[in-house]
Amino acid sequence: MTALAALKAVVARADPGQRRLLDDVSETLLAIELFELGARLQVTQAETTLSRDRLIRLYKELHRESPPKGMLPFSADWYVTWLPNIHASLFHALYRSISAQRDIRRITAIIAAYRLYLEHVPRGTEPVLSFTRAWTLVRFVEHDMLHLRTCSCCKGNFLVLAYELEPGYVCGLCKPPSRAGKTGRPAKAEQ
Amino acid sequence: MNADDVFSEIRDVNLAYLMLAQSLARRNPVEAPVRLGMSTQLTAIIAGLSAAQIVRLAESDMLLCGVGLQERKALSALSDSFGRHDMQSMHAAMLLAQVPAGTLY
Repeated sequence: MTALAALKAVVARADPGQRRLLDDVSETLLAIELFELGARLQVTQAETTLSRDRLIRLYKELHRESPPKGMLPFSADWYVTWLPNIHASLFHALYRSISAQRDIRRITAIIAAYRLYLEHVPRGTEPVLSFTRAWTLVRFVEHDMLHLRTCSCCKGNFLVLAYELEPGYVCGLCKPPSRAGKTGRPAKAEQ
Repeated sequence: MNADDVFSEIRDVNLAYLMLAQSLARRNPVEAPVRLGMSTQLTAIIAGLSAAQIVRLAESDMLLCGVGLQERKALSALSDSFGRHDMQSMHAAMLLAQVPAGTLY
């Protein structure tokens, strides 16, 4: 990873005039980073200037299989169910904190926030919020499909559906629903 | 424990804090402001401090670092529900992440 970081620094230092090849390298590095975090093809297509063909080839070389077909998860409702809401709200709090920095690219902030979020995922378990979901979440909030509400108990900001009327909102951590976390499947972490 | 011990402990904490902050700031300038709850400019200054400057800053009888959570409700929500569910650290991280960063004036 340090070699990659050094390479990125070299690419970023270059003269901004004639640098088509270098731009190509930095876009490819970004695409690799996104794929490594588990991004779907559509995410890299939207965030890099690389062609779809090259991205598919890159995906195959990295994951040794074809990229999954079909649409991205598009439901805003998913983010307000109990466990996803907590994970998504944590990710978005980190994202807001990072994107407050001056001249930071949106995708850089998403990647940094997602890496910080991954630290809170117990070892050996799949993260509840996938990278693609995290990326979609940022767009949903930007497009006003999800809003932030302040919990009246802990003052944390949590994601709610836009224009939901619920006076005196209390978050799912201060008042967990009675069957919270009991999905029927045994949790991996308990072993 | 007499007063001298407390003062030397405070100095130790100051030194450890500044060294940790500097290593975080140098290792990852994008993540460090979030972890430290500092503004980007302040993080950059800490990253640029020399060892002698850090030692001089730490030589004080007052603590340089403070409590991140200033809101009484946030503190009570975190301490009341202690042990009630296993997502305590996530809750704390979330509340800390949305604390406005300390800025330079």
